[in-house]
Formats: sequence, C-alpha cells, structure tokens
Amino acid sequence: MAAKNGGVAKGAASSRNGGTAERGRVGAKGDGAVPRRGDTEKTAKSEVPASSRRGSSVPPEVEEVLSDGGFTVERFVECFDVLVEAAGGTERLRELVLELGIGGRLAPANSPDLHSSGILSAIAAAQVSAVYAGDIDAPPTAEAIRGEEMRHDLPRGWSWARLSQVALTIQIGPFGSLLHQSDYVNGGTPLVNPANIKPPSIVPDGNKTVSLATLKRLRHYVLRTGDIVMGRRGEMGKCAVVGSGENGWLCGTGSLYVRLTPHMESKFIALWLRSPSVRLRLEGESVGATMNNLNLRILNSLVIAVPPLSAQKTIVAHVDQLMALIDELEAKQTRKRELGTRFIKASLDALTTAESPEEFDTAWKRVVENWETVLDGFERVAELRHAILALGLRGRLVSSRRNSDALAELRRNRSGIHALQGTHIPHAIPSHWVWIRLNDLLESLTDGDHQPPPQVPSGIPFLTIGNVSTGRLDFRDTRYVPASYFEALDSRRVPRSGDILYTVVGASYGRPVLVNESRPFCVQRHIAILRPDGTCLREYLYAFLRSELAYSQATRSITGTAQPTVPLRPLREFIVPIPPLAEQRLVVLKIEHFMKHCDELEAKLRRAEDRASKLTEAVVAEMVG
Amino acid sequence: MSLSTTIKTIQDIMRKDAGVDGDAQRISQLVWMLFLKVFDDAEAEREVMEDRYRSPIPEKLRWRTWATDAEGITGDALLDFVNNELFKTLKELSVGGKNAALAGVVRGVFEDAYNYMKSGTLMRQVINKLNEIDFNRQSDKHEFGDVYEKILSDLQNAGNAGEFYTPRAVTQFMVDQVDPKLGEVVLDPACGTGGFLTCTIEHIRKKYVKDADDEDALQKSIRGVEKKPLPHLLCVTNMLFHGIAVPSQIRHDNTLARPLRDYGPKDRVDVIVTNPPFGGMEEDGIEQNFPQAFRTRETADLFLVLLMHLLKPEGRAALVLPDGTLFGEGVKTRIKEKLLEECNLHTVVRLPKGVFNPYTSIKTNLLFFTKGEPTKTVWFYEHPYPPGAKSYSKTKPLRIEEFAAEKKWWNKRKENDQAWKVSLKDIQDRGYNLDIKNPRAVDDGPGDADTLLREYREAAAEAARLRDQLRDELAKALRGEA
Repeated sequence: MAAKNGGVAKGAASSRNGGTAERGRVGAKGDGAVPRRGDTEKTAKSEVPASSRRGSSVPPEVEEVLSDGGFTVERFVECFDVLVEAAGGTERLRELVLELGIGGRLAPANSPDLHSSGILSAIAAAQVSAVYAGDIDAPPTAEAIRGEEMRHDLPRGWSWARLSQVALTIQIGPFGSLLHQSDYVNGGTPLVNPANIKPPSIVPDGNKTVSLATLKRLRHYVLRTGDIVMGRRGEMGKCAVVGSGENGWLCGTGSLYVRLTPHMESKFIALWLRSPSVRLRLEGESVGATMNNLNLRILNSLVIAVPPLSAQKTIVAHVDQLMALIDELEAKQTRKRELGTRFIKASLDALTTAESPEEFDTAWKRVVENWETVLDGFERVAELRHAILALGLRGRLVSSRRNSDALAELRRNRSGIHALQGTHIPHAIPSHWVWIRLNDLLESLTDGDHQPPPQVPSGIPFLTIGNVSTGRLDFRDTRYVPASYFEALDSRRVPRSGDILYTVVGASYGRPVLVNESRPFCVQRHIAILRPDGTCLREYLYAFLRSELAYSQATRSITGTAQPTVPLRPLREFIVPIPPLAEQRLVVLKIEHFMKHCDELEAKLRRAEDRASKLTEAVVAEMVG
Repeated sequence: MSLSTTIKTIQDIMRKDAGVDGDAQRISQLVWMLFLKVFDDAEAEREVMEDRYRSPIPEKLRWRTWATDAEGITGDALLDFVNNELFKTLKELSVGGKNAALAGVVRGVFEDAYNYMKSGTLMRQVINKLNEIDFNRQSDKHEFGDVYEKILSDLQNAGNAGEFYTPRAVTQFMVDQVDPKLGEVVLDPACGTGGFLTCTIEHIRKKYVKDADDEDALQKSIRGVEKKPLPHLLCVTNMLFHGIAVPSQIRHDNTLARPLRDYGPKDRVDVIVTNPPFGGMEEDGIEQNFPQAFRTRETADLFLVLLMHLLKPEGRAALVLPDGTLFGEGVKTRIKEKLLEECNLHTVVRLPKGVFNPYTSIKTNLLFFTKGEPTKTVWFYEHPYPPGAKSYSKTKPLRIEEFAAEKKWWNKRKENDQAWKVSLKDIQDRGYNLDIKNPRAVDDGPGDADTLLREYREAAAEAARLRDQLRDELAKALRGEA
C-alpha cells in the first residue's frame, strides 16, 4: 500500500503545520472552529521535539565535513550518529574497520616480536625448497617497490612486499578445457567456484563434484587447509579461508588460491584481500570486457604492508570483534526500523479510525508526542498522506456546517440518487454527509479502446499505464496513434480536461490522475476514464480516489489471474462519502494544504538522507586515503 | 558438449537458413527432427528385445538410413528428399495392419509438422549435430528435461502465452500424493509437453512395476490431450523417450471442444493430474459445451468442471489452480459448490508467489480431491518459502525437498503454523470463497500502538548503546590508542 502514493509528489504538511492544524481541531472538539494557521503554529513549535537523528535537518557538522573535506577524529565522532543511520552506513563502517586493520591502526603500536622482514626471508627460503621439490612453479621475480606504491606510513616492525613474496604460491584454477561437463559425478569432491564462496565460508554445490581420478589429474589445483580461495571473476575480493573441512576440495575455473607458509596468518591475508583499497586496486587492474578477470601477474605484483605474525593475529582478532559489534548494531537497527514502521501504521490507524472525541484525542496526542519516531525517514511520509486523506474523508479536517444536507443537494442536481446505509458502510461520517455509489457522480465511465491500436512514429499521444502511474500525465516516451484512429474513437473514450483517469490493470492499479490537458490524447485500455457530471467537486473525487478507502475497494474487486484487474462494474459501485458542496471545497483545500507540506517534508527528509550517505562515502574515502 | 549447448548450436545454424523465420518455426523444425531421432533410438532398443519388430516407417525414410552418416546426402539432394519423399510419405502413412497404432503416431506428428529449412547443407549440419546426442546415455537422458524447458521457454518468448511449464518439484509432489497405482488409467487433459505423465510413469515404474506384464499394463494406462501442435509433438517425443513404445494415447485435441455430455463412462478415468492453462480465454462457443450454470470463458474453471465429470466414482485428482478461482464469484461459486457436493476436496496446498517464475508470478494452489463423497472438512496447507528466500526464480526454483514437511504431515494431520482446517459450514457461510488465509499467519497487522512504541524505544536504546560502544572503539583506533 505504501507504494501506492509513495513517491508521488503531491503536497502535505511539514511536521509543524500538519500537526498544529490537527491540534486545533482536537482542541475545538467539534465546536466548529476551523483552526487558523497563525495561532496554532506557536503551540506546535513547543510541542514537537526538536531534532531527529534521521530527521529532517542536516546537522551542521555534517555540512562542514562535506564542504571542506577536512576530516578529523573529532569530527568523525561528532558525525558518527548520522553515519551509522545513513543508508549503507554500516557497510561503510565494515570497510573502514578492514582498512584500519590492514593499515596497522588496530594493532598495538609497540612490542613487535620480530620484524616482518625476517618473515619475508623465511618465505623466500620456503619457496625455493618447494620449487626444488616440484610442488610449485618458480615464483616471478618481484619488481622493486616504487615510492608511490607505499601508500601509507609503516607501523614499526612492518615492511613492504609484493604478494608474490608473501605467498608460497598463487595458483589460478584449472582452465575450462581441463574440466568438462562429463567430469562431474555424484557424491564426489566439491569444486569451489566464485558462487560457492560466501565469505567467510565456502558453501559447496552438491551437483558440482568430481571423482578422485579427476582430482588426481588436477592435483595442482587441490586446496589445502589455510589456503585463501578467491573468485577471480566478477565481484573482486570475495574470498574465504579453506578450513580443515574443506581440505582437498578442488579450486574451480573461476577461482584462484593463495597458499601461505606458516609465517603468515591466512585470515589476515583474507581481510586484506577484502579491504576496499585492495578491492579497488583489483577492480582497476582486472581485465575483460563483460566480466572482470584477474590474472596471476596482477595478483603477484600487488603491494602489501606485512605486519609481524603476532600483530597479524591481534589485528584479525580485533577486526572480528568490531565486525561482530557492527552486525549486532545492524540487527538492532533493522528491528528498530521495523518497529517504527509498524508503530506509525498503528498510531495513524488509531487516529483515523477513532470514533469518539476522547479516542481521537489520545491517538492525536500519541502521534504528536512521537513525531520524531513517526517521521523517521521519507518513506514514512506516504503513511502520513494516507492519514490526511482518511481524516479528510471522515470530515475531521473541517468543521461541520449542519445547515446544509449533502443528499438533498445531490438530488437537486440529479434524480434517482440512492443513499447507502447499513452494512455497506465502512465508517462513520458526519450526519449531514451521505454515502453514495461512485456511478451516481459520473456522466460516463469507460476505459481505453480494447482493440490494439495501430502505431505510428508520430501522431496523437497514446498513454499507457507507465505514463500515468506517477500521478501525473507524462507525455515523455509515449506511443502514437494515427489521427484517423483517434477521430474514430467514441468521445467517451477520449479523455478531456476535467476527467479523472484511474489505472485498473497491473501491479500499479488504483492510481488516479486529474486531467488538466488541452492537447488531444487517448489511453490504453488498462486505464479507466471517469467523467464527473458536476454534482460533486472533481478535486474531491480525486482526493477520494487517492485514499486508502478507494484503494481497498479496488483491491477487493480484483479479478484476473495473470494480472490484477479492477473491472469497470465494481468500480462504478465504489462507495463514496459525500459532504455538501461547500464543505467539499473546504476538505479539498485542507487536503491540498497538508499535502503541500508533506511534499516539503519529504524533500527535506530526502535531502537529509542524501547528505548522510554522501557523508559516509566521504568518511571512508578519507580513511582509505 | 552438453546437450543444451548442442541445442543452442543447432538453433544458431538454423538462424542462418533463409527459410526459418522466428523462434516458433525454429522450434517446430527442431522438434520433428528430434522426434525422428528419438523414435529411431527407441526402435533400435525394441529391435534388440523383439525379434519380429517391424518399423512402421519405410526403410529408406528411417533416420538411420539417411541421417546418421555424417557424410551422407546433403545439399539440394537432401532438401529434395525431405520435402518430396520424407514428408510426403509420412504425412500419408497408411495406418493399417499390425503396426497401425504406431504408424498413427508417426503420421500424427508429421501431419502437424513442416520443413521450413531451405538449405540442404545447413540441414545436414543440424542433423550431424543432433547425432552427437546419444539418448541411450544416462547423462544425456537426464538432461533431456532441461532441454524441454529451454525449448518451452523459447516457445513462451515466441508469443504463446497461457501455458506454463510446471516445475518438476510440483508435478512430482502432486503425483506422489495422488499415488497412481498400476492399472489405473491416468489422464492429463491439458498435458503440455507431458511433465505430469512422465512423472506418473516414473512413479508407477518405481513403485509398482515388477515384470513385463506390469510394464504392459502401465503402457496402456497413460493418456494425455494437448491442444497446441508443438507441445503435443514434444509430448509424444517425450513419451517415446520415457519408454512408452506406442504413444498413441497422447491426442492432439482440445478437451474442452467436446460437449460435456458426450463424455461417457468409457471416457472416465481413475486419476487426473494436471495444470490447466489459466488466465487464457477459450475461443467463442467453447463454453456452449458446458451446462448453462457453468458457462465461463476462464479456461481453468472449465477444466475444473470437466475434471469432476471425467473422474470415475472414487477417482482421484490433483490440479493447479490460480488464487482467482478460489475467491472468484458468480459462475466460480457454482462450480465450487458442485465440487464440494460431489467430491471430497480434502486438501488445498497454497503455494507462494513465484513458483511459476518466470512465466507468471501469480499465486497458485494445488487442489486434491476424490470423487463420490461430499466434502466435510478442507485442510489447507500454506507452503512457506525456504528460510531466507523471498521468492523463487529460474536459478532458485522450488525444490522437491521443500515438500518434505507436507509429505510428513499428509497422513498424520494436525493443525500447526502452516496447516489449518475449515469445515464445510464455514465455507458455505463465506459464499464458497476458498481463499482462506492462514489463521496463524505471523503478520497480523501492525499491532497495538502503545506496545509497539515501548518496543521501539527499547530497540532504539539498545541500538544507541551499541552505536556509542562502536564509536568509542573506532575513535580509539583512529587516535592510535588501540
């Protein structure tokens, strides 16, 4: 339902004014006074809580960061709340933690057990003996590391190296020609392709297993405990450490593995590969037109800051701990947002369905007191819009004028109008209002031509669902029909100014559009054309059609199996609450007023969220350097 | 090369041919060739088993004679042979004598088929590619179903809507629960490419067939009807492939086109398993074949009426129906009333959206009923998505393992989070609306505002605490105090 009016830019209340006008109504408790805007604004300011974390205002410190880019730890701490709540914020934090880890900022600054240069010579020795034993091919000669490749200051005890100097060997999975469809058997040894790497684990595919014979033939590609297996295509940096349970599995065509000596901690290399700066380098270097593809040369020449072994272990432990904290925080945030969404639904429901003044009062108080929660994020403005429409159609936005009677007024214009009573009626309305069928307010109700129309490159615009489902007529990207076809159409099937279009087929059914358009056009048969006969204000009818009241009737009348369809017959039978004409005007004015504020509010919230996510990008960029 | 790659290569070769226009023709061309080859492979097997087997196809027209030699006739000579000898003869194959039924199958296939290809050389390339497939090899046999799906999805793209490939997990589950026994006549009145029937064959073979006589009985008991020529052809090929030696009981016809009253006792069957086309509308006049009270143009509803009619007393049925039929009114109401009076609708399995992706995303239901006794209670079972999934897709389809819970529950029924029962009286009170929601569904509205607010505040406080902890840890690291 949220999707129905979501994203439709059409008006509504800023927190202050939306709140206060309602407030006035409650204060008045039905005594007839229409609240004036000026005097209520004052009360509202004091009632509505000041700022919200994810709320409508952008904290000044965020703007500072974004404007001058200067970034300090103090600012990071100040912006932290905004950062964490931003879309993608926790993901950025994870990246930040990885980056801090591999840069040595999560390890104790002193007491290195051994300088890591010792590790490097031990690894070089291990490589030599492995080459002699025939276990590996000779590693490439490492080029000297250039100044610009040393990306940050080294912590004490660390040293720069190329990955080829750190790994015992790096091996790319067997070429496709070495592994055929016919090599796959049931119940054999699993293959590790990029799809099987779900960091930090490896998830085998029961259908992709090979026999021992194949394994023997491809023994150079067999994984061992402690290897890091990584996808070399598509998403870069997706890797996992081979555990003892996966020892002996086969490295797939799309993967590669890094084998280490005991001088290095596998998990450290895994998080190094996952870190954003390394991923960025891999993405920049990888080759291939449709899919990124890594080769050995790229891998071997990567530059890494190598910590002493004990520091590697500390870093891994510290990163794990921080990651767990982020996971926990994320889970809590999700839960909080869920509850918030349900709360706003429930509290607005209670508001719109309140029967007695007391109930209404309680419900209203709850909404105002929790304004901050209620409007936590722009998506929620849609709910507010529904509530405004619902209140309008229940006669709660205007004072009643009991001197006129809606039914009598309608009957003066049109005979045979039948007032509905009893079980059909969805909710209470003021006594001088009346429930009638939609059909009693229409001159005609049709839909677009049922024959597929001839198409021409230019001519009369032919609008489809996509051109109207945003709530406005959108003449970009329309199809065209020839003038001859257009002229042959029944005049009731040609929309004109004053009509209301209503989508009746497809997932986006139940969206009205008011036609204010002088140029000729026609519509697809998935769009109904309602032509009001003037007994009722068309803007009022439009407000009704946007409401949950109309949408729920549409939903109930859905038929059609492949695509939801609201047939015209039940559409005619929709029941509408009708106030006297003068009151319709007031209701429409009120609704438009609040909707305008909703627009502003939504725009503000969107901007706030946009700034927040820009901030997170900026933070990480700064940290990664 | 895998089978689906082979098929793709073949289609690519055909694309070069000036005579073959569009997917529909390409598939049609592929299908008759595939038929001849599968038929030939099946014959080869029979010749080993039966000494006196004689092919209904004249020797010089058999696949082995003209097609298997990769260096065999090609170019214009091949084209001339196919157009003027092969098609001419097979379209008019005389259907008499000992082999009448089998000859009828061949003739039926070729009556609906055309040779679109205009280049004999390209045709030879296609034939040679086809010959790379060995249908007697287990792995290729296994993959045949996938190829069917590929062909079928191409058919969809070619613009033939309304028919959906039923996922293998669904057909298998339905057949397993209906449990057709040896000797029972099983019908699919809208059999498509034969998914339900092949499933039935495998089910009976695995569970009941013990010797050659049993196998004979099985062969006689499978019936299918398909309205469209191409799926029909695929179905016949599929039957041959699954060891039905004479698939003459797969008819090319529209089951609905015959007046309901004309179906007599000899047309009645023991078991029906089907997924009728839905959303589609039948041509004008079809509904005239049905009694006044049940006339509708919605195909699925007509099939439901037909099913009730075609079952023997105590016959069992399982069918797929869209949600629309369950809650629909008017004619649909009358049909459901009749169903509950004449049959025992014992189970409705409600499937979530997306089971039929990518063909349609609508929600569907599996109805199981037995004819001859009125319904007293209907059990509903809401099939959940597997943990973590939000929908099914081509790459993550519904799997048969997911039905394990239903199977376990089937014979020892208890109400639980997924299963609930509804009495006939309740259904009548609802105006035969069978779209009954799970009473224990977790999502029952937003709940009480005050409780939610309290929970929200707790969660918010907790999040704030974690946030501050994380902030301090990170600040420490950034300041170099870690």
